[in-house]
Amino acid sequence: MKRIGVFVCWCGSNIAGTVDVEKLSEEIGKMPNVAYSCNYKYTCSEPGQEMIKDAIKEHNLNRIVVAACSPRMHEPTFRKTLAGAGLNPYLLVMANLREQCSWVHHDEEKATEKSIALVRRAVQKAEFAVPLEPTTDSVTGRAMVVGAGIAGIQAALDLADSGHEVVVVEKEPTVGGRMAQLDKTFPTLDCSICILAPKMVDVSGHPNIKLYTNAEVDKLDGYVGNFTATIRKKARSVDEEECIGCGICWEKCPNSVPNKFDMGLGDRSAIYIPFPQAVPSVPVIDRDNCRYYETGKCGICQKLCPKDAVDFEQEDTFVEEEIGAVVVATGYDLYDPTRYPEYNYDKYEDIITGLHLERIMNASGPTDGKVKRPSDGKKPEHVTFIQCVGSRDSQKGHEYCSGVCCMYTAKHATYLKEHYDIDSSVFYMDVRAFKKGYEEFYRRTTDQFEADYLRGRVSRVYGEGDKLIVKGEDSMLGEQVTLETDMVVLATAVEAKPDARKVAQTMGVSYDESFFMTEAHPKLRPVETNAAGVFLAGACQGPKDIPETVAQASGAAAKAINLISKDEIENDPLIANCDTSRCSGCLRCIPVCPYSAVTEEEVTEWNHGEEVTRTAVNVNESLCAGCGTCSAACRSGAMNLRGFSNEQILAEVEAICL
Amino acid sequence: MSKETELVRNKAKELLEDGDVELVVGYEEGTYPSRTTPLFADTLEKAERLIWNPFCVNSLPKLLSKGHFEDKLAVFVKGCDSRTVIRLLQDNQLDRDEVIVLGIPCNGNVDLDKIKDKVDITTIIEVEVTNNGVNVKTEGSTEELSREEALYDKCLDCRFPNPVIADEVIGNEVSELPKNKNKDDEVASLANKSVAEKNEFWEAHFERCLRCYACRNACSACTCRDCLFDRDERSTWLAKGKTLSDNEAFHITRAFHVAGRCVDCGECERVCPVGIPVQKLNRKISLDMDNLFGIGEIATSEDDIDNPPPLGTFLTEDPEEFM
Repeated sequence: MKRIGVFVCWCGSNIAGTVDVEKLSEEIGKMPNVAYSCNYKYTCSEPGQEMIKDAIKEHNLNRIVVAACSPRMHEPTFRKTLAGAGLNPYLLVMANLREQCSWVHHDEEKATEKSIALVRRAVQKAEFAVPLEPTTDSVTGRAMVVGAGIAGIQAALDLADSGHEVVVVEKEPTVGGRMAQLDKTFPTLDCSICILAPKMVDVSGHPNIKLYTNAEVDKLDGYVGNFTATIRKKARSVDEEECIGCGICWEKCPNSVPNKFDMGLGDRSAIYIPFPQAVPSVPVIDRDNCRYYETGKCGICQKLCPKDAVDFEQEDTFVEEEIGAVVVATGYDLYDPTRYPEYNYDKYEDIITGLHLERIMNASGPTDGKVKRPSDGKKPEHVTFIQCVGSRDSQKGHEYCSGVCCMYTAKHATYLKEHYDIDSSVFYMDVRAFKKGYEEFYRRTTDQFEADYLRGRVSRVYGEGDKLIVKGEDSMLGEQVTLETDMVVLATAVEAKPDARKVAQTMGVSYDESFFMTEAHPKLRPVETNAAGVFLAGACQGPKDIPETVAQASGAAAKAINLISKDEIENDPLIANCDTSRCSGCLRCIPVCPYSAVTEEEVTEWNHGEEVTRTAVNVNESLCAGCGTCSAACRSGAMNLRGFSNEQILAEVEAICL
Repeated sequence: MSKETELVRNKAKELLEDGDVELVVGYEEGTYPSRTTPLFADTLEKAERLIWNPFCVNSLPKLLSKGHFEDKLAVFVKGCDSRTVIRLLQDNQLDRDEVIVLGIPCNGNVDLDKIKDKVDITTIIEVEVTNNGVNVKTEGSTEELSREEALYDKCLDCRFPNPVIADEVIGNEVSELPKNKNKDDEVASLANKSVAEKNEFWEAHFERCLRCYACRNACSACTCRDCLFDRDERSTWLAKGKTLSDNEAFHITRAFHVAGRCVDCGECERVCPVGIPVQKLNRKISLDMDNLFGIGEIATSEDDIDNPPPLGTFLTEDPEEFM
C-alpha cells in the first residue's frame, strides 16, 4: 500500500506569492494514495525537515513528494531528511514549483492550476518509486592536470603538496602558458615571469609531480575515481633524459623562423626552447622548419650535441596513466583582429595586439625590452590603444566582455609612460575595473600617467607617411576625432582555443556557444563539471585574469583532493539497468553509450524445455552515469533508468497530459 | 511445373543432400494453386513440395528471427525480402554465418483480392508477370490484365526487384520495372493537406483497425521479445482497447518504433485485413530521414549491416535545429 506524503513549500514568497499553496495542498490531498498533504513556509529549514520526519512517523508515510524548488537545489537535502526518518532516500520525488511555475508566471489562478498538474506528476512518479541502494567503488589517489599555464601549475602544486601524485600534461614543449609571455601583471606591475618561474621550476622538481611536456591527452576512459588517460608524447626529436640543456644545438642551428612565443616578432632556430626560462630546458625540433627533415641533410645539432641526445627518428609514444580526478586547465587564445578590416591589422606592421606589446616590452623579447616599432625600429612617441576588439561585439566577435583588456591596456599605458615616457590615447567603450585595486590603478593611469581616454569606437586606421592615422569618435564630446599616432595596439578578446571543443569532448565536459567549458553550476559548483571527477581551472572555463585563475585553480585542486583522498566513493544508484528477459540483443545501446558502460553478454535461459543461449546486454554500475541515452535508444523497453523508469515517465506524462 | 519451381526444388535438394543446411525455407501450394504458404523443408521429400510463382508473397526471413532455429538454414528471398534480411542482420536477430540467402529476382506479386472479380481464382493454373502486364491462365481461359489491375500496390513502385543480399541468385536478373505508381508523391500530397484533412483521413482508417497486430507481426523491424502493446503494465495511453484514440496511439507509436529502420517492404500494409495504408506513415518518416540526415533508402546492400540506423547513432555534424 502506497502512502504518499506531499509537502508543499512556500519558499517564502517565491512560490506562495504566485501559487495558492493552500488550494494546492488541498487538491493534491484528494488524490488516491496521498495519505497526507500540507504546506509550509520554508520546508528546507530545520523545523520544516523535522515536520516531514514527524509526518512520516505519524501518518506512516512510505513515499514523499516535496513540491518546492529545483531538485538540483534541494534534492540532496530532502533525501537526507528521508534517510533520517528511516525511509530509503530514493523514495523522494520533487516537483519544481519555483523555477518551473511561480518564477515564470504571474497569473495566480493559472499558476495554481499548473502547480497542481506538476505536483500530480510527482505523485504519479512516486507511486512507482522503489528503494535504491548505492554501490561503492575504490578510488585511485592520483590526479591529472591538463595544461600547465598558471592555472594548471597552481592546481598541480596544490594537489602535489597535499601528498597526492599528479600527472601534468602540457601541449607545448614548456610549462608556463600565456603568463610566461606577459611582461608585467596588473595592478601591481610585478614582473610576470619573475613570479611564475619559481612555480614552473617547482612543478618540474616536485617529487609528487610527473610532468609530460609536448604531450596531449588522446583519450580519457573510465569514470570518477578510476580514470585511465592515454597520453600522446609527441616526438620532440630530443631525448629528454639525455639532454642537459647546454644550448649548443639551438645556437648553431642554421635555420631561422619567426618565433611563435614572441608573436612572430623575433626569430628562433628550428631546434629551440621557447624562452630562456623554459621548463624543462630541453629543446624541441620544429620538424616543419628543420633542414634535416626538409632535405635529409644538415644534422648539425646532432653532430654537436655532447650527450648524443638528438634523435631524428623519434616517434610519438603513448603512455597510460591511472588517475582518480582530472583538472582541465587548457587556457585560452586571442581573437584574430583581421576580422575588423577597418583596423588594417594585416596591412601595417605597427598595428599590433596587446600580446605583441607584452613581448616588445619584455626584457627577453625580440627587442630586449626596448619599445620599438616593428616597421622601422624607431621608438614611438605616441601609442593609441583600441579596446574591445572582438569583445562585446556580437556582430564580428563575441558577445561577452573579456574582462582583462581594460586592465591590461591601463597597464600598458601606465608602463609606457612611466618607463619609456611614451604618451597614450585609449579608445574605450566602458572601463571595467571592479576588482581589488583595479579602479585605483585605472585612476592613476589617467591622472598620474596622463593617458588620454576617449570614449568611442574607431572607424578606421590607416598609414600616412611613417605615421598611423586613427579616425574615431569621442562620444563624450560628440565629436569626430582624428589622431596621428606611431603605433596602434588592439586589445583583442579572449576566446576559447581552436581545439577547445575537442578537448571538452575528450574529457566529457560540456561547453557553451563560445566553446568555453561549462561548470556544473555557475554559482554553487563553479569548478566542477557535469562529468563527475573532472574539474575546471582558468580561462578554459571563461575569460579570467591571473588572480581569479589562481583562485579557481586552487579551488579545483581542493575539489579534486576531496575526491581522491577518499578510499571509496558511492556510485549514484540512478543508473541504467537491463531487463534481459526483454532485451532482444540488437545492441543498439552499446554505440550510443557515452561512457562505454554497456557490454554484450550471453544469457542462458529455459525456453520450451530447452536451454537456449542468446545475446543480451549488461550495464557496468560504475561506468554508467545515468544519462538515459540507452534507455531512449532501446526500442524494446528493456533498458530502464532507475529513478526514471519507463513506467515512471509514462505515469508522469499521463498525469500531466491526460 | 514452372522453370522457377524446378530451380527452387533442385537448389533445396542439393543443399539438403550435401548437408550444407538442415532446413530450407520456401513456399508450397496452399488450398489451391494460387494460394501459397511457407514451407519448412528439412527432408528431400518435403523439398519436392517447394514451388515458386507470382503468388509467393509472404516475406520469409522474418520467420527466422534468432531463437527460433539453431540449425543452419537456407531461405528464398525476393528483392523486398532481401532487405528484410539486412534489417534482421543489422538488428542482430540473425547470424549471417547460419543462413544461406537464395535470391530470386521478381517482376511483381499478384494480388488475389484485385483479380478475384475478374477471374475465378480457384481455377488459376499459371500466371506470368511481365513489364507489360499480367497473363492469368485459368482452366477455362487466359485473361490479360494490366500490372495495375493484378499486382499488389507495393509492387507497382518497386525499386528493388533484385535481391540486395544473396549467397546465390537463382533465375535471371530483372533489369528495370515500369513505375506504375509513385508512393512518395502520394505521401507528399497527403502530407501537404491541412491538419484537419489529415486527421479526417487517418481517423477514418484507424477507426477500422482491429488491433490484430498483423502489421507488427509481419514487420521485419518489429523484433522485440516482449512487444510493449502486449504488456499488462498499467498505462492508459498505450492501452489495448479497440478505440480510435488507442488505435491512433498504437499506429503512431509503432511508426516511431521502426523509424529509421523501416525497409519499406510494404508487408504491414499488405497484411492489414482492413486495408489501412500503414506504409504511408512509415514512408513519411523515411522521407523525413532523407531530409534531415540525407539517409533515404536504408538496407540496400550488405555493407549497410555495419551502418547504424540513423536514429541509433549520433554524429557531431548532425543537424540540431531542435536544440
